Amino acid sequence: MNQRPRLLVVDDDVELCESMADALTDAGYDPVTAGDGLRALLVFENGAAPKLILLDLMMPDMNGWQFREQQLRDQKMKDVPVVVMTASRDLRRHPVQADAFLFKPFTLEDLLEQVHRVVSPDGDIRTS
Amino acid sequence: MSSAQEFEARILVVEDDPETRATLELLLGARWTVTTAERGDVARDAARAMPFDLVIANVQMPGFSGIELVRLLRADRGTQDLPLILMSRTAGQNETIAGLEAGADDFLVKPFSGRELLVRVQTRLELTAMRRRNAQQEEVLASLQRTLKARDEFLSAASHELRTPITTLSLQTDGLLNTPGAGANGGHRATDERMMRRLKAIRRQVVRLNQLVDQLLDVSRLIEGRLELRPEEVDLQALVIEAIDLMRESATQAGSPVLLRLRPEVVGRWDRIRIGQVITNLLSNAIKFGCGRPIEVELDADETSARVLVRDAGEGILPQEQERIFQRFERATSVQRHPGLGLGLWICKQIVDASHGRIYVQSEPGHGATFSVELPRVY
Repeated sequence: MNQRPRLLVVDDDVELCESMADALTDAGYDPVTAGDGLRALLVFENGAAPKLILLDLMMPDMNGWQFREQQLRDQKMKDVPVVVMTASRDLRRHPVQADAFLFKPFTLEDLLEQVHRVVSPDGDIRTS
Repeated sequence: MSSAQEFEARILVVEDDPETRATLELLLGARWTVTTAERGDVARDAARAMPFDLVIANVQMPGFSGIELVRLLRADRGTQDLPLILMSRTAGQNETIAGLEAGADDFLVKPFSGRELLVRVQTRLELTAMRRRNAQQEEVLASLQRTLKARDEFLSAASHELRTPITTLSLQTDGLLNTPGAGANGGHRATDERMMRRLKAIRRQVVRLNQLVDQLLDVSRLIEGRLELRPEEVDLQALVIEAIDLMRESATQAGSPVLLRLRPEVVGRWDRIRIGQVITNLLSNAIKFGCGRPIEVELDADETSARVLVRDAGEGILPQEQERIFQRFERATSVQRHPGLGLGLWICKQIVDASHGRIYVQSEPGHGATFSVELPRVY
């Protein structure tokens, strides 16, 4: 059976998380959502590791920068690619290391383009 | 006439000799409100307890000298700026210096004439009034600066905050538009089309909302002087076509066809996003004010510069309005007729100025308007 690739969406805005999950499900993925960095870490502990993480930066409890630090320190998680989603247009003061960026507001097309670059719905991983 | 007479100055006279005290009270009391104290410690407590505009103190007093009083008042935050005049009978140079060093503003040597006293007091009070006005103005200025800063921070935070819900709206609308048989009611075609039309209307508004948010953020950035251009090699023709594509739906909606007169290729070094924004803004205005008539876009270039013209056949702009419309929050028409923030052209001008170019309008009321953007090809 063909497993849909798992994607992790991390954003404290519940509506946005759900909308992204809807869109990614429509596009053939298996999205899971988390409201902050701490909950995102729990996803790794319980169940299959995601193929890609879509990460918001400004979040309570554990923000995107802190999550990235944790992630990069962990052998299991460190190689999962990350697309940072941000409403900011200038990250020079608070840089974050990411594989790609989505600047809010992004369109469905932008979202799928970034996701497809890393993983296709049939599970092919693209290495760059 | 003078400002010192305008405000009700309160003077504290500190003099141990009853006769001199009475004379001073009489002289000064004719013009100002006078309070007297016969000892330094009493004067100090009085100055702390109520506001005075001037203290005149005798140097030689039993117990608590005038110089000591000056020192104490200067050391106290509540009275450190209080104007002080010392009076002394012997007034050797040393004493004068000691008084001034302690912080007195002026020194009167007894015996002095009533006229001299009045002139010195008057001068001191005028200086005080002037200093107070300056301080007030500085305070107003500081408060204005704080308000402006708060406003800019608010604009920045608000536009930032608005972006997440716009993303959600955009994703949901696009998702619905992409769903096969969107809005299908048992596959009824007319209903489908109607639903699609409505979804597209929502999407147009999402695009518009996003542009408004971008404008808000641009303003706060431009005010802070944080507009940074990133010039790269750009084909202006491709940029114009992109902008027209972006605005095509709104143009169709308004009933204005967009006609293009292009040159094969106009390459220069510009900020792709910002110049694209200028063209989109001009097109958006042409659609808004074009009365549903055709809009012409023309591209022209020579060795050193390129020019984009956006021409509408709307109501045009009165000569006296043609400068003003490039200013912030300004518009040629009323807000009721054409809503918007009044920022589009101002932002265009900031971008074009920063690109060392020129933006201007030619218009004859009743015969439309032509906006021109001239950009040097290299700078």
